Amino acid sequence: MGLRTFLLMIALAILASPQARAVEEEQEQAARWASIQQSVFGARKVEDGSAWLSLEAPLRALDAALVPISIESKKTAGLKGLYLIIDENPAPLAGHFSFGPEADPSLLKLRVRVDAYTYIHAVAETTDGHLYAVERFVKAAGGCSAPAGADEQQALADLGHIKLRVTDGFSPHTALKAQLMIRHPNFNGMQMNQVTRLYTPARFIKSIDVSFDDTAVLHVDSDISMSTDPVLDFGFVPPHKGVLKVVVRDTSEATFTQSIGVPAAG
Amino acid sequence: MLVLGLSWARAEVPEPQDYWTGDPKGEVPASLGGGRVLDLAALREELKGNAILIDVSRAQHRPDTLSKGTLWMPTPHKAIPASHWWPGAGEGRLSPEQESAFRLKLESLTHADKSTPVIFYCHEHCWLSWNAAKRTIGHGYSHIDWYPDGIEGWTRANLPTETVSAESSIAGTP
Repeated sequence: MGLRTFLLMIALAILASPQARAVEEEQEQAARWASIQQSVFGARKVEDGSAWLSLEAPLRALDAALVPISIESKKTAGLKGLYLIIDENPAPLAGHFSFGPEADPSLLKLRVRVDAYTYIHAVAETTDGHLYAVERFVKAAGGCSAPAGADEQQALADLGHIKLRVTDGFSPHTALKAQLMIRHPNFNGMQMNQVTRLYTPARFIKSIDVSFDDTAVLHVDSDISMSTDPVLDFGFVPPHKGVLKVVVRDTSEATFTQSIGVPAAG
Repeated sequence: MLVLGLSWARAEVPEPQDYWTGDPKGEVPASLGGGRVLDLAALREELKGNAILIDVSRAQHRPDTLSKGTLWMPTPHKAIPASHWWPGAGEGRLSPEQESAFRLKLESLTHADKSTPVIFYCHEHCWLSWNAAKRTIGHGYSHIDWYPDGIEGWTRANLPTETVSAESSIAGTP
């Protein structure tokens, strides 16, 4: 056996090994993340964000159409916004969150659809233009084509109902937690009606604006990766008593609003 | 008694009379009337012969109404090496045209030899491959296998995959 043949055999053995495949998989994942960064951030550098963020997601999700995500910001001063990216989803940019003057960016929670085993990235953007990313690997698959619910008609009938609640007692200049629940099927256009065998046309929430007495708290640009009936947990810092207001817009140009007094009347 | 109890627990999902037309993702039966159910070892054994391997997972469908600014980056389709990828072939309902397209593709792949071993798979907990296997049995093929653990079962064992393109879809993916 010539040396060349011998080396070739070793090379083939390495290629066929599980370790080599894991390496290959890592390279593909890294290449996809690089390509997403290029599309979303252009030439801007994305640095390690472990000092800025912590991202929580289940390693193995029970329901790929409802994967809970929680983004904790360790530093809130100088934080302009957050990007949530689900690498292996066909539309990877799941959401962009911009914080207003009365935001408490320390905790965001939401539920997303995951189409394949994937890295999920949370990227912090600071007011001085830096980008800091953290990542998590999630094992879930099929969330994008999972039917939105048993009954499309019912889903559309309830569309736009909003529940907004503040889960802490009011005290001026103290961060409060709030939860926003929106009835919306968030049809992503990838779900097939099992009876008609047609794709349900995409109709999803494209933006959410939260304000307190007309001062911005949070602006969300969302996309088809947000789950059916979105639930969003966020924080805000009311300087005085006032009204927390939410305006939701979807891709059919429908607008839904809800507001509550802080503290609640009565 | 314990053994009996376990076998009952495993038979929770009965085989439907006809094709499964509900959500393709869900618990699947443990059997396939007229065909064999393969575990990973049996699949690998079968692949040593002249079996034809068909992946019937659906393709990613770009929503027609997706806004222009949306970042759309479909991922490559990973399959068991040497798979034919027939998205749509496992749908519960096919039009007569789609049904005949399916039959012709099978004939061409097997050179009209109905004893050719054909293996169907998609994902784990996925009815599409069960449907496609049942459909093939209905066309008179005598050696039909179903690998219910799908691509996930394959990759969990750290086996290599291959990026494949869809061979003209049967249904559902325009």
